[in-house]
Amino acid sequence: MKVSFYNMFFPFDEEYILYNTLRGAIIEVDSEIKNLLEKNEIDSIDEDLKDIFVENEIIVEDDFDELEELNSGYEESKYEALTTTVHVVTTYDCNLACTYCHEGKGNQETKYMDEKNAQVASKFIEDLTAENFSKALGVELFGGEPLLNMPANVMVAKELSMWCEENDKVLFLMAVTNGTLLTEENVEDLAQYDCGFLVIVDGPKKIHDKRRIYKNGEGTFCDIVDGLHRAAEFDLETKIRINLDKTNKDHIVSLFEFLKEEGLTNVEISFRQVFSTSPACLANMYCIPDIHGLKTEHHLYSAAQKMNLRVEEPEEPKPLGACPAQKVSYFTVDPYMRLFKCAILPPLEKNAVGVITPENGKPEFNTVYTDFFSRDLVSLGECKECKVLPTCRGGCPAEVYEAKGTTHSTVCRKSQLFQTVEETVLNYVRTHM
Amino acid sequence: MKESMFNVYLLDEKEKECLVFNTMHRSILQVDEEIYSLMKENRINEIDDEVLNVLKEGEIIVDDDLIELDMLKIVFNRGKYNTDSIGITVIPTHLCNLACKYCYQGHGEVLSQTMDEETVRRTIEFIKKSVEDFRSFGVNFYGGEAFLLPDINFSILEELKSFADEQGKQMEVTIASNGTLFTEDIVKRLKKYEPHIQITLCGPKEVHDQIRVDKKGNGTYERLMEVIALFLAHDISFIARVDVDRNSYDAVPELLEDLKRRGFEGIRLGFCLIGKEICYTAMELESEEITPVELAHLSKRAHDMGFKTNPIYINNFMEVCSAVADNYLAVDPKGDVYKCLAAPNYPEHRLGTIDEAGNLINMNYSAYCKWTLRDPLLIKECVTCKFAPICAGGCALNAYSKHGDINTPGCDIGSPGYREKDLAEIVRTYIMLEFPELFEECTYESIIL
Repeated sequence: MKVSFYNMFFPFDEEYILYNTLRGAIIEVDSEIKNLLEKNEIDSIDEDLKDIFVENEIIVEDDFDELEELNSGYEESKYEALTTTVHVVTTYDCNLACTYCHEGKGNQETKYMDEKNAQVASKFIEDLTAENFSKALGVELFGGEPLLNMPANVMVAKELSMWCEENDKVLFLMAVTNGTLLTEENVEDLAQYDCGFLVIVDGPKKIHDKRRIYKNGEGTFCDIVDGLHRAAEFDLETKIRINLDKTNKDHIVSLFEFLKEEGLTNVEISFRQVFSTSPACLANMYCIPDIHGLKTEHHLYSAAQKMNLRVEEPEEPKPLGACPAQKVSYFTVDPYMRLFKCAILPPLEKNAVGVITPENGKPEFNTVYTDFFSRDLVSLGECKECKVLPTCRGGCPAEVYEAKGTTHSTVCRKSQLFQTVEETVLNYVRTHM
Repeated sequence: MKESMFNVYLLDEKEKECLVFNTMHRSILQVDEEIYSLMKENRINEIDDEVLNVLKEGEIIVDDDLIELDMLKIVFNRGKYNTDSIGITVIPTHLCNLACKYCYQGHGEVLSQTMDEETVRRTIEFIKKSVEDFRSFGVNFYGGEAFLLPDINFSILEELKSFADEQGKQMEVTIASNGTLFTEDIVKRLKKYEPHIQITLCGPKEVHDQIRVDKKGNGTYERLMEVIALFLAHDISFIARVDVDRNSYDAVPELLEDLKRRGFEGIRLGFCLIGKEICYTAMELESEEITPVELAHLSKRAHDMGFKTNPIYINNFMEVCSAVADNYLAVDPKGDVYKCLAAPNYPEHRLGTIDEAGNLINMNYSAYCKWTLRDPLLIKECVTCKFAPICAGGCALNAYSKHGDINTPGCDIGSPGYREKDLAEIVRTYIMLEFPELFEECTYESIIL
């Protein structure tokens, strides 16, 4: 037997938390056991404890190639598709000019998806879901600001609701919106398809209105709050996403207080970090968060919980499998009917992996598609020697593609990642164990 | 743009026509000599736009920057990690009523266990758990002789059928049997499961009866003819596998004639090589292998006589073998689980065993990863072989028996006498059977890889 390569030890209450990045096992050990494991002195470990280590694969057979296990799980996860998920960018246009917008504030591109194309995009999504044998379909209406293009939103919602009903699939429909256009009419039009809303709010009014502003510079906070109330009246799933950075992190609790006062306690709150280091997405908390930001998130999570607000749980530390950018179950469709492997990659033509044929909704893929899909972990050079590979997976594929022109390479933030893995694990231990 | 690395060209020099077959996308196009020359001379930009579009659609011509091996990896892995269905082979017994002279399992005398009642129960539980996330599942019976102890099979089938109906899952039943034990009663009971059955012949009566014999040495040919009639009378889907070696090759037409004489024209036949690689003990029969191309010629012959065949099995394989697919497992009579149904004689390939609750325990992840990650693109001989998209590295167990490592080719590539070009003849035969109109005026004798 040998000690797993993927064991990490984090000091915790005078003991250590042992975390295995490959399997997600978390076990508390004392310094003596830590030393024995680190020195591979397995024979000196008490038999009962050894059994636990074997069961949790902290200790593995001598000839066991752990990288093969990692690779096998990773490849499998690319094709796992219980839920097919698609972002539909119904327009690139936006009515705001947020200070940190990564999409050029709706000025670079303003294309709208017409109803005919919305129908073709729906056909593509239906075929994809069927081909993936998925049980559920998750569709996010995305922008720009998607509520600027209600005809396309309604077309997509109507087509997919009907199809899911006929084909016995569960549909999760959500509009990712700045929240300023949650008018009675818009909310009602989408409510009939049980569409939820994910609204971005950056803090209490005084903070939010400095960051998320109309083109004329005016703040959007009051209009958003009106919209949240309207969505609540229709009993729709409503979520608030708070984009965190240094300038707003100390003011979020007053937003919580405001939500309580307004009676908006049924709204689910989640946090994402605004990245300065990576162009990558705000959609997945695993996309290389900053350690300070992560600690802030955990702190705010506890605060919101104490105030009896609904808040998205921090993710459990566990191996992740492939990023959606490498899965058969994920695509972004834009108004030009182009396909992308991540919502952060439009509108740049060089990032498109293919295009939907208008006549039949069939995709035509290009070499970028092959590049994204065929990236695997075992060919990522020095990453093979890294304990956090199961979490980091060689870096965000979208970022790597941006930096290197191919996903078959890496962007390394090892030291940062070691810290964030530790914080994620210890936070989990503190809150769950 | 560039020509695909997976193009196989068949030329008719007299008629100045060419067929291009792409082994990855299975596209077939007929082009004239001029287009062929432009492609081969890398003057693709001179090809007329309309023709170019058709060539692109068939992936005969691809983008310059497309790494086709990456594409092939995606094609393989899509099949390997299919999330719709799972297949499980059950080996109820290693015992057999026959003593065929080329049996790789040593007549059920090397391994001879039979599933006891408890293992049957565990196996059923295991299957129920394994198929949970899948819309459909396949149950395949294998042996020894798969139908030596039909009560076991029926108890498994009955329970799984009601489970499948309750869960709204589709269940597909396949059986690989020597065929001799199917009676009218068994066939009637099987009918409701709509099974697909494979039985085996190895030549006309005089050849078959020397080789496929019962324990007393009696031939089984006439019995199998009764069984074929029984299957036809009850409309059972089946294939008669015909095992062929150098000695029996010339006698195959006589078998075809006899089947036709008996009114069995139109049945499905599959021709297979008799190989020695995975034998548990030394093979009794002195046998010399024929080539995959000769098998394809037998398919053609059978097809011309009105039988259904498919000649495009290269090295006995078509795409990824189910044993290396993620969603395939085989359970042996002890309740041990393998990735390959022919592997229970190799303890190093055992994945684990089924416990009381139907869970797989004592898992050997090394074996699991080895099998699941077998990738023809990691086998150096396969990476440069135009036929890798079809045979996917061939039989992994063959490769293991020959080289001690499943990540080696299952075919004879690299050995003297092995010519990759010959495999194109299989493609030629395939096209001839599928699209006879293409051969009305041409013969396409020249093969260019």
